[in-house]
Amino acid sequence: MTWVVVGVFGAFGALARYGVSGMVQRLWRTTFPVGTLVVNLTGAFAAGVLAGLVTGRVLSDLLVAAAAVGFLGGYSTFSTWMVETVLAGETGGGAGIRRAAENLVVPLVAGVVLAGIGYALGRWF
Amino acid sequence: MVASPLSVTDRLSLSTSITGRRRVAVAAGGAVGAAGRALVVELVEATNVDLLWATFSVNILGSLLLGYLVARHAARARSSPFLIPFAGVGVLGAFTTFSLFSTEVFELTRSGDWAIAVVYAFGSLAVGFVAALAGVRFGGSR
Repeated sequence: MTWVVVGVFGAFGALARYGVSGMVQRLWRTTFPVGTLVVNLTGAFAAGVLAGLVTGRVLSDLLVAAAAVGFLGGYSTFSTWMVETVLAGETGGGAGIRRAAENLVVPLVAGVVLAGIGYALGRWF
Repeated sequence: MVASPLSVTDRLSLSTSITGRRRVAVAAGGAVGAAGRALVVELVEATNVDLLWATFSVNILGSLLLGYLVARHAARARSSPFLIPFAGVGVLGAFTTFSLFSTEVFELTRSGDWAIAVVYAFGSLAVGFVAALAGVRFGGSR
């Protein structure tokens, strides 16, 4: 049954991602996929906060499924990150490969660090 | 009042009804993708395999399929304007997850499982990149 709740909240998450990443990409005016990056990093931070809130507390499983697995899972995306990295690497030879490598490692490290900061905040509350 | 960097055509396209219908396609696809991910998690939970494999599986499979979809869409002359919003942004975007991936890596480092954290993180990146690349190559060839 959880998957129904996850699906409903996943729809809102995907919609939020579509809106936020499109807006960021238009405002930044760069070919770098900054929209996906902003969505993923804010999603990782929020997921960290939720994980921190859940620790040592009794929260409804369904609530966590809706917020973390549904909304934030639908809001953030791994596949778009990978495909955009491949496409960035395909244009421009050596510089393209460097850009692709950067677009893999920087979001990974930043995502884990932000999830950690979020977790600390969530536990503190 | 700072002038918006959006061009006039951008602003016009934002207000057309196709934008609204694209949003519906993204939401519908997002529901399918997120529910599909939850099903994979339930499947993995039913076995004795570590739950990291659920996230790993959806992320790799989603990267492969999105690469294929995007390249196929670009190679075709005629394609529905709702295909990418529904299947790409919606289904495959929501099927895969970055937030869960990041928190999993963080939890691994917090519990001191540094080796697993590094292997899981860089393994996901390497296999995900190769999967997306394979999808793009396969989808772009005729």
